[in-house]
Amino acid sequence: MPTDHPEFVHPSQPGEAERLVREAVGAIRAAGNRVVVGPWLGEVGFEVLYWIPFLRWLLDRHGIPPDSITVVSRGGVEPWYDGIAGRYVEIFDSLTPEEFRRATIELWNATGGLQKQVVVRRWDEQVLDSTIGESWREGALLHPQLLYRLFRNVWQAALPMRDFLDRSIQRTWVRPDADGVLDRLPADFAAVRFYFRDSFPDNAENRALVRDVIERLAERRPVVLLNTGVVVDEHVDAEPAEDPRVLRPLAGTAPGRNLVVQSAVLARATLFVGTYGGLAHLAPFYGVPTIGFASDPTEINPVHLAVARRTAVAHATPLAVVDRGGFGLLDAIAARTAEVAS
Amino acid sequence: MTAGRLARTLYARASATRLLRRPLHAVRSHPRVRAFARRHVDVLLARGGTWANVDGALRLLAEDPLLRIAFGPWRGDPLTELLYWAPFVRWAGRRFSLDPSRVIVLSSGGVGHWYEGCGTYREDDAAPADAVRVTPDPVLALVERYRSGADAPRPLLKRAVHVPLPPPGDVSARRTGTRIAIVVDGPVGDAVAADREVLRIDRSAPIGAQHAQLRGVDGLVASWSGLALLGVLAGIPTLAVRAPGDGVQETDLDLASRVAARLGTSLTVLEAGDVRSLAAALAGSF
Repeated sequence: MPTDHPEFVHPSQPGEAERLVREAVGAIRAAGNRVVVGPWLGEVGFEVLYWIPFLRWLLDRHGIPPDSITVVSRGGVEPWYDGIAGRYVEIFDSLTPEEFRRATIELWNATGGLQKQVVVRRWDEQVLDSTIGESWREGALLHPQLLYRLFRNVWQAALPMRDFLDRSIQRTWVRPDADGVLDRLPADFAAVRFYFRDSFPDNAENRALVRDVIERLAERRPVVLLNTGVVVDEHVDAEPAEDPRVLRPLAGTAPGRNLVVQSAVLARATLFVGTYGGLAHLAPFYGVPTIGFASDPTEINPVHLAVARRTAVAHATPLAVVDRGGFGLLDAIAARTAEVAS
Repeated sequence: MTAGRLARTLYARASATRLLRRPLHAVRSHPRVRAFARRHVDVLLARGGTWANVDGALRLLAEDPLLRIAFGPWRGDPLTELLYWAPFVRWAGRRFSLDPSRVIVLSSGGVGHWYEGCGTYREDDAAPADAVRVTPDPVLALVERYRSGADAPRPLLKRAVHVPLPPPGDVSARRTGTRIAIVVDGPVGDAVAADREVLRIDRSAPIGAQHAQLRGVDGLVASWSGLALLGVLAGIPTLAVRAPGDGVQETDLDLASRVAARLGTSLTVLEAGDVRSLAAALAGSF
């Protein structure tokens, strides 16, 4: 069992990254390739930007077949792991969002706000016990702590970004299905999800910005809100006012499906606009042009911005991270585009 | 602690001790000691290879208050100057408390305001005979290691001070919310709504004068270049347009994104085709 003060790979530890990877692969081989991947308990952004591309590299590079791999995550995100795992286990089939949220917040309080899964904690084990039972202990566990140990110092700018990029594989993601939702979507729509966070705080200015942007989008095509009402962390959705041009087909989605349904709708959008982070990281994987808002970019880790930009380039998809002024500039160009088209 | 670091620590403590300050100053001011130090600076800078050598040279220069220091001459492109060299010169001055009256900065293109507070700016290739030259070469060699992906950003970031650079000239020029500077020709450059006042920047002007033309501008559309970075440093929302296969260093874009985020400016970097597809998606004209 690791300590609560893990060693992160650092430039002063040459060969440490290779050793950690070797150990992880060795444990999987020793278990006859039977491995549980997860549980993923963190944010969407880290999962799609780092965890899944890293898993693709690790498993592909070392020839570990998908049929022996079980992934544990939440929100019905099985399609995200297409080609990685033969089995997907949903956390919200065994735990309620309230239990999940309460345990997560208790953990943050206990660890002084340390949100990341840098070690296997009691809560990780409880999730695994609840979802797949004691049997997970008989195989290998590929826990997200490996991701954080390998790359925390990339995110801290103490290691080159290449250390991550060389250990990731980008592939086009398959568009998920979502029965009962897709047939209610317009043929052409902008998907939108705004929520508040440190880089886009809840204040009058940002609420006005959300209102203005949605109004501007709705003038041109239907807007589909991706808000589901499911709350599993500290982020609060910005709820726009009622408007017949603004559709809310995802309201009331079951927690065990909220992310896959959001993905299914997002993947069919012409454009995604919303708070930078989370779904703004996901949209480029489906080739959807993306505008992410950050009114206070000093709150964003610039390495995540750079990796997001490079990921979007790898998927040949435009990604713009803007504030009100930056959006105004794009909007001016778009307005001219519309003039020319008409 | 290495012997060198121990010696430096003891030396720094001794220099800070009132009793030893005067005799140490007398030793440092001795012509032979000064000549030795100066030779050692040249050796360290010529050796380059590590930030420790560059730091060591600057430390020696800082300790001789009689020496004049010439940074430059800068003969490279404005983008590299803005992203790496000028922030390094700024950092060196602050980190080693270099008296600006001792410092000369050599560059060209009317960019003296980029070095404000660092020292005396000269549009000249030649440093005064009595000044020790700190050329960009050893710094650029280390920048290349970062650019190639071999080195982490942190050592470079520790030695770079990026500051807002408002356009020089009449400070009363106010933004109107409608004025966009365009320096990209063709489909992207022409694609700005008619209700916006468009300003065409004269690219034949020296870069310092182009910077001045950004006064009162609310948005900038430019190819990825020193001017695009000036937009960011001037606090102007900037769309930097790339051409396919333009050979742009991705690490430059990473650093520029970091600078934009730290200064709170919006920088979007897209290929021309992506600008069009994003604009079309936003416009609803697919």
